[in-house]
Amino acid sequence: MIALLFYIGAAVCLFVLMYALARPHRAPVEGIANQFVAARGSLQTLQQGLLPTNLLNRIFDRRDLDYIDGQAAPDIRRLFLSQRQAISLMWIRRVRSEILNLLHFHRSHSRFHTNISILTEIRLALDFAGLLFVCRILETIFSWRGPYAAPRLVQSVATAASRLCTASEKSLAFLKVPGVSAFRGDSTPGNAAV
Amino acid sequence: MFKRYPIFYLYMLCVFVVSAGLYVGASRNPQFYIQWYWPTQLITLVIGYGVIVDVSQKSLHAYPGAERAARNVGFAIFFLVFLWIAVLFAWDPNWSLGRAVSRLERDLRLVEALFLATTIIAVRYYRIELGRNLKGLAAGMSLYVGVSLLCLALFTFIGHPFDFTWKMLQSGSYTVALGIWTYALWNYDPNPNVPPGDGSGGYSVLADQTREKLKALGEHLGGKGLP
Repeated sequence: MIALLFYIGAAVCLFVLMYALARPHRAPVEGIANQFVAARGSLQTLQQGLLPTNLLNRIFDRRDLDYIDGQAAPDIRRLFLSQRQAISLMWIRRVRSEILNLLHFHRSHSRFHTNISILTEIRLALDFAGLLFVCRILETIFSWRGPYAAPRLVQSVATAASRLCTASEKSLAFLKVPGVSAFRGDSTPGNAAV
Repeated sequence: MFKRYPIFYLYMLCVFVVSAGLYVGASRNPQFYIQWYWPTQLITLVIGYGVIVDVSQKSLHAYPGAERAARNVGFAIFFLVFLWIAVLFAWDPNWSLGRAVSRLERDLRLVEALFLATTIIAVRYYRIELGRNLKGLAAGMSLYVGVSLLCLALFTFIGHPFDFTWKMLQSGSYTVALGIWTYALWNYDPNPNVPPGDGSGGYSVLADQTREKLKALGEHLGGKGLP
């Protein structure tokens, strides 16, 4: 009976995939600079804007709530919680969207290259899928239970996202031009060095 | 179209010859059909494999990374299923040729289904756009292979009472698949939007060239003395 279910399951999976194949989907226009620039931007946003520990502490530190509990009226507490919830939802949605950008870039990039091992590819695919799934769970938790309901999950999302950023950074390494910083207009107008 | 998809047209020809041969043979001698059905099914099945491999290669040939991933996973599935079949055959105490052949066909169909599924997953995962020809070939094969797998699995468990439904379902699915193939292969429709690989003048090369030029420019403007 289990074997029968297995074969029927395989056939049903094939029908579902056939439907997915038949559905129209627009592939991205490959090779355009936008994709690389967007991926680079997502990487920087994640590493410098969304994942630093001080920002996570700022948003999810429970001491802020404890302070409000000790000092302010219930109205203020409610206002604080709703605003913090909105911020935490914005944070997780933004993290998810940047991870999606990186995933799209990774897929567009890795399909051309045979130097990535198949195991690494599968592991990365699972990591991306897992992280996106956990982001959705976290979003649901924030919506239902507020920003302080799952501090460990926030930490694990941040760690997993950092790990994926490191992997994506390797793919984008060639966009780092060491000499470019020398040509940036960092010098003051009256102190032209060239 | 024959030059572009020769294996598929060979498959069509083979199915036609086998079906017509079985029909003519059975009208003269009723035993002929029973005697030749399974061996001829195996031949068409093997050529069907060729079609699936061809679809996979043509879908992914512009994307070496995706092609290698699909091929490796496909062959791993192939190896595992055949190992499983070999173990089942070796340990089956009630082994008989007829049962073995129908089971073998079911398991081969399973491998076909998994190979097709791997190709479609690779196409969707790597966001590869296919032309109408390949989409139609894959969709028609998926329908026929899926229904065949379903029928063979049910036949193994239900037995001969399932014969009539099996015939209807299998020939019906093949007719629908023929309709899909006719529509898909009416004229040549190549895969759209095939980009140049990054290895042949893509962004890595462009970045290297830019880096070289910036280095040269930096040296020309004063080298390391720049702020």
